[in-house]
Amino acid sequence: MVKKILTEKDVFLKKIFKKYYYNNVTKIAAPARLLEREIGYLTFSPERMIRNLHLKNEGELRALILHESPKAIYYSSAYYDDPSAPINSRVWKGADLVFDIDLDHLPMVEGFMETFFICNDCRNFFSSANGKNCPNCGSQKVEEIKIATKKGLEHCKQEIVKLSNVLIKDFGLSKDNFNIYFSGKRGYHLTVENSLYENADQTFRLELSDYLTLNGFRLGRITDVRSSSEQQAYLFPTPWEKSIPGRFSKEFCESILHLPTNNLDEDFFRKTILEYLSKIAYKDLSIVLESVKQNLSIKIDVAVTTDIHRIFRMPDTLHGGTGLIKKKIGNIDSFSPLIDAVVLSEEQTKVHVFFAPKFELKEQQFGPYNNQEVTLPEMAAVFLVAMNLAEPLEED
Amino acid sequence: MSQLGLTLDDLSSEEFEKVVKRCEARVKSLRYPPELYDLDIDSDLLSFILAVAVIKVSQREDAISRFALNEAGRAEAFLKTENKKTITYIIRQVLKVPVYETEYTIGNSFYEYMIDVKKYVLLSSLLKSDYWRIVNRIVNGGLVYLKRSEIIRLARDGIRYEIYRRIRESTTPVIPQQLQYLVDIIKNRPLPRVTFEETRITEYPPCATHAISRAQANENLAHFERFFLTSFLLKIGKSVDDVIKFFSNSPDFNEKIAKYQVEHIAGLRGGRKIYNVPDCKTLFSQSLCFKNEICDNISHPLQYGRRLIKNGEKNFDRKRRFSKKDF
Repeated sequence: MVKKILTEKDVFLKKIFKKYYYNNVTKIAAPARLLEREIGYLTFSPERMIRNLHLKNEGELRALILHESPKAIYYSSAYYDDPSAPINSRVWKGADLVFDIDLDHLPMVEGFMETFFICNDCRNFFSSANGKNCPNCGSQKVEEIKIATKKGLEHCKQEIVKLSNVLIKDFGLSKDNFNIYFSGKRGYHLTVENSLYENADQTFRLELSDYLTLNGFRLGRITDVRSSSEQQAYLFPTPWEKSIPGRFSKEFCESILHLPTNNLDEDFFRKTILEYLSKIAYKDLSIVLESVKQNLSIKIDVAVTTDIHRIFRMPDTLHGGTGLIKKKIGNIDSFSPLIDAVVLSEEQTKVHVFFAPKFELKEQQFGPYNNQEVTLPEMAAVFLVAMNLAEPLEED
Repeated sequence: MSQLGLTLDDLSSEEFEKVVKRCEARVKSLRYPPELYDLDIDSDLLSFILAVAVIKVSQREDAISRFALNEAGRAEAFLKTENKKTITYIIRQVLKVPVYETEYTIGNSFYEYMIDVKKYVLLSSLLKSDYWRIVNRIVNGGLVYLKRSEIIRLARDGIRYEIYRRIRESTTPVIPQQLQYLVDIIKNRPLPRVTFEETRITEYPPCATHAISRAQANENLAHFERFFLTSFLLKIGKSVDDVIKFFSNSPDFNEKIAKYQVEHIAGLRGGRKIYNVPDCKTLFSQSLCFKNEICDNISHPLQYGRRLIKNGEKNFDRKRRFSKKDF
């Protein structure tokens, strides 16, 4: 018999998080150089951020997680002489280079994310926020909900692969320098540790971010659209050049000329370029080059990379907004976030779902649901409750 | 000087007349007269050291900058005549920058040198043009590829900074009485005439206008956009309450949180740090730059729309930014 008493959402989540950590805390490894990092965590209701903690070892970290069962636990990418000191009085010694690729920062493509709106006053769900007001009650307390799809996360993965290739080729990093993680929600983190870039300041990180996003890249570096086609074809970078010009040329060949670049003969390449350039008006060419630039740019979150004091979710810990874990990735090709980062149980749990589109976890399909009671595996119930799409029902 | 067994006092003797004359030309930023062209290396170096000492004693910040600029220009002219290996050697020695030689051609550009990318960003940070940003460079294996003319241009700025830094950080020597007139040449030079500008923002820059219009249209501003708008409005004299009003129509507006954050940026809370308005480069990187033609000449949003509202000039030594005790 189910008694229709809605439990506090946070009580429900905290109970499940506690259970998970109790059984799995030994799987949580402390980040390297824990002593030099600031630790912080977010509590369940009342939601409070505790920062400036300093933990001595993995044991202390695990004890903290078991004791608090936090909604989220974070560590700084920066290294300090005394991480527990107030931010203005601690000495910054360096910071990992961190890149965040999130579906939010990628161009919106249909099928990458399920996006809809919830009115926090009347609980009405709707697909577009016309005028930012709830169409049912007129309230302005409208919240946008975004659920990453398998397709969207796969696309993010391709961006991470692009990023790691550039870091290796252009910035001399080796794969041993960096770790890739699924963030637990809508994207991936790439963290570079123990590299020559550890002590790089904000100016450098800004320059690096612009290099990756191609912000400020002059298309004149590729070709002068106002010069003759012959001259342009003669000077156009080949796909095997170094750095951005080479990658640009490769992308241009493959996406615009549909010309495979493996074993491409230079004479044939220049002849094809000449043919193409002779037929296109320079204004149209500028538009084409701009589109190639957009394809080539790596959509990192610049604010993340340039912030040298930022804190990040600890690997192997649960994301308070999904119930998935931040998962370190061994083999990016075979990694599947909606399988590998799902760690909560399949124990049957009853919830009242206000609204949920079709979604997938651990190769199981769920939804769509609309204002109905359903019994779901714990992993799916937590996923919906954490996202404010459902409320737990207490079993009698 | 110690290697030659000399002191500054020794330079006041007749034997070093040419050294002193050359030093005089140096501090006056003049071309050397023909009779001073054939000076040996030791004498040339001595004239440089004497000029450094004289400038330090003069306590004139503008003289240090001018001297560093002139000497860097001279160094650049010499570097242009040197061969590849010598340029590599000099840059390694003087700027302590690892430089590597290479030969790489792309289009009609021929690259001869490579520099560590971090060092490159440091050296090029004073060069404002997009041309020097790494996004417009060849970067491979952590190295930036440079043409001969480019590395010499970078070296000039590096040398200029190095001369300036070393003079600023050196201790003040004692100049012999007979050479005191060299110090007076600098001291008697008129102070730079700087237009006295009382300015005010007469127009908002397009980046701020964009953020304000978004806030007024009840749109949710990104975190950094909020930070920028808050710091900008505070800097141009808006009160904390005025700034909060700007955000009051945001869908997720919470007065308590907004007040805390605005006060934090204003330096009224937490570490009491007053946050600066992000510069154009940072806004550009955050995709918050919406530049127009006026923006071409500025590097900071607060420079936009500044208008001279009070004419007239004052002999106002704005270059002297540090006190006498620094010397």
